Amino acid sequence: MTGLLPTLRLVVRRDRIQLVVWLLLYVAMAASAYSTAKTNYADQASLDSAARAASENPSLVAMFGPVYSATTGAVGMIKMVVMMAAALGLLTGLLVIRHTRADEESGRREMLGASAIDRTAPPIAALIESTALSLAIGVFSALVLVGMGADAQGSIMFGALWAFTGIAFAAFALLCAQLTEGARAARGLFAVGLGAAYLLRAVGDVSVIRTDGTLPAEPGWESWLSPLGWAQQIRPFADDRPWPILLLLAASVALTAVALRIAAQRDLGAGLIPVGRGRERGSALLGSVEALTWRLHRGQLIGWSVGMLAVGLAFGGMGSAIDSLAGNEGTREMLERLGGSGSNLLDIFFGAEFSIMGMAIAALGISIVNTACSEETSGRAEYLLSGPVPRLRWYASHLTAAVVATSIASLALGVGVTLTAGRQLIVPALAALPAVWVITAIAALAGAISARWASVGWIVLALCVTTMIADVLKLPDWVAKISPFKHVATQPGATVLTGATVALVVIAAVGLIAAALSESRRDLAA
Amino acid sequence: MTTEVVRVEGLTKTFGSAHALNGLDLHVTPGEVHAFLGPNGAGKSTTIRVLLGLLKKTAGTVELLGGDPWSQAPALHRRLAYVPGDVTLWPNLSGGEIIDLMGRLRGGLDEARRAELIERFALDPAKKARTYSKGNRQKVALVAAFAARAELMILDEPTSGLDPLMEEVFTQCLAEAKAAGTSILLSSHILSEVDRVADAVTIIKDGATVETGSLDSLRHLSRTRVEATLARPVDLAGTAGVHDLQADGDRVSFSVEASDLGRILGELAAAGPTSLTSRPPTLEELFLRHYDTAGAVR
Repeated sequence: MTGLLPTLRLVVRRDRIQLVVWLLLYVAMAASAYSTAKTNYADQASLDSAARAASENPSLVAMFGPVYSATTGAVGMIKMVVMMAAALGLLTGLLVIRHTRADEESGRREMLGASAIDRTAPPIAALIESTALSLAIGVFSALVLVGMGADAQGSIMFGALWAFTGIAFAAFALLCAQLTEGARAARGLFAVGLGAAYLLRAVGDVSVIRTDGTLPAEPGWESWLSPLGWAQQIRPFADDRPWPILLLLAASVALTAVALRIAAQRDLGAGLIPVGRGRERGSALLGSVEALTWRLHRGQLIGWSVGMLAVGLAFGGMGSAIDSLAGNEGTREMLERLGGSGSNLLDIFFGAEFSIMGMAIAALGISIVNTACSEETSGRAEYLLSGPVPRLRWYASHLTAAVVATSIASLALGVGVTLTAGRQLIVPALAALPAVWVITAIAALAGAISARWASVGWIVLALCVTTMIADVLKLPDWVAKISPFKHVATQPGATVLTGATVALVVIAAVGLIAAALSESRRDLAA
Repeated sequence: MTTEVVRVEGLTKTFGSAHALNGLDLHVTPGEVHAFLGPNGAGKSTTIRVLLGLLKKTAGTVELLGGDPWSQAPALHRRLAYVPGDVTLWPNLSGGEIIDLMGRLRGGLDEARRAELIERFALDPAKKARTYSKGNRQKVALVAAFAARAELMILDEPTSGLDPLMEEVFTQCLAEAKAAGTSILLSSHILSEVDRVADAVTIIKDGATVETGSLDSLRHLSRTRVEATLARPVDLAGTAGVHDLQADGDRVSFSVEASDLGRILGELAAAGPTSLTSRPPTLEELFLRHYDTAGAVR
């Protein structure tokens, strides 16, 4: 293939630092999780009870999947299997879109395309990079686990699970990048696919929860619709089944083949989903800076609201399966272990899910406030602000949009759950908002100080997600408590208006106001 | 007393330790087309961003339409129109929507003028900005700016993406705007275009003004290029005041300082010229006098 090698070299050159960081981070996570398990579960009895507790708690099963065997590996690595595989898929997918559609949109690809390279060289180079990263993470993780004394076959299966999930989602992203004309739309499409895969697997796992002391057999059919479900069914350190790897591999090959076929035949810059013609005249409503801001975020807000409604409907539906467990003796014991006096299993489940979905909705908040940064660095803000638009009003419109949009998305989630659960769960869904706004405010403050700090919000959100696995990473207790999502009252029946909630709202408000005031006092980035 | 539209004196702007502007002066009087020239990186766009209140000055005096561009930006911007050098637009909005948005922000735009400008610039207003070429994005900003009927237009290299035909349309529009009394600050490094339309020129280099004045007064500073066909060959090589001499048989061409022009023409007349052309220096030549360190034009 002409030009593949130079393209690949360019791709790796642009990412060289983050590639190394991700590799080290993933291997360190695997090692840390296993070493924590070795110290925490010294005997078989503790493993048995841990495996049972994890497999009977619907919120844990929805998030991490059930534990398939009471071994150190299966229990210790449970938080690494589905969740971190999905995170790796997100990483490889975003890398692929960065080097394909995003480059095409920015015009960098055109410069490259004018030199002697095949049309399919950039997508193939992007795929090779992500594949190599996935394989390296898989191989080194397996080696480190074996070195720590883990079961060799289990370690290999675990490494393969990570590697082939990363590859499969890279291939999916490659297809997404061929379909849309904009990188943002491609990322959105990819995120919807990844989210759906996670949700389907969660539904499949929760539908077969048992509380009779036995470990689960096969998941519900929904899991088989999801590549993350296939990955999970490799069951490392339990059944060590290699055949689901073939499913992942087949999907990767098929997705890649379709994506490359499209890439080879379409025009540069074009997508399969065509861009329609716009309006000749601006609508009468498009006459203020607020109207423009609404217009920029409208599509994203609609997408998120529909998505959150669907997630809510799915969670509410899982509720009935969980509810039937509530009378069970073993479940009651588990509830007591969790310290859930006065609350039932279903409430704990919903409380956990609302908090986790709050983190997802925080991504929407960050994305919206970061739009102000990209408007700035792209030069669009400069053009807009050459009109009679007060800088503060322009920036505040984006901050307001973030607060309003996250509220609407949370409301959609609450409405969805309420519809299928058969009881009012809108208030607990909205209860995560103060934490969402704190994260949004942090992202806004960073962007207000410098438009180039737009990534700070994402790092903070990633840290909040990491607190969910703080125990296996042996992080001190206070680290887990930093996350604002630990301080919101999302459990149904809990008092929403606590001191902590009020404190979070105050912090968020102060942060947002400080961001708005400081942004309009500095030079506009160009 | 006429108040200046733009009054910049001793403007300094630093980014960290880097000095982007070093005591720059710029004066634009009402109704004039003022060319703002300088090589890439001289500080033209930085100056314009300070004028638009997007960057805060470090030191110096900056007055725009009699006000302070930083603190009074929104009110002042109602009276001006701006075309950035590198026009970036919202990918999901059509050109027509963007023109209307920018117009409505200013409190409405001239409908007839809008339709006429779209026609003259041959712009398809229903296309999404995502699909516009650089030239077409520039046309969107130009239509929005010319339709605004502003007191002051600030144009940052406005023709860099336009084809020659569209450049011609632009020049016409500029002349019309000038006739309507609009003051225009036109930044450029394409000299031939401002040569035809500019009344005054400010040339900057490394963030400071090196030359400013009316185009006519600046021409006095430079040399006239003379080309002649002579009946009798004459050797001008040793003649004082003649520069860049090129002789080819009976044809000679050379540059001459304004003060020496009369004396040299006398010598030429003695040589029996059969044809004679002289032209004033182009801005190109004015420009190179300041930037060409090797002195190739001298």
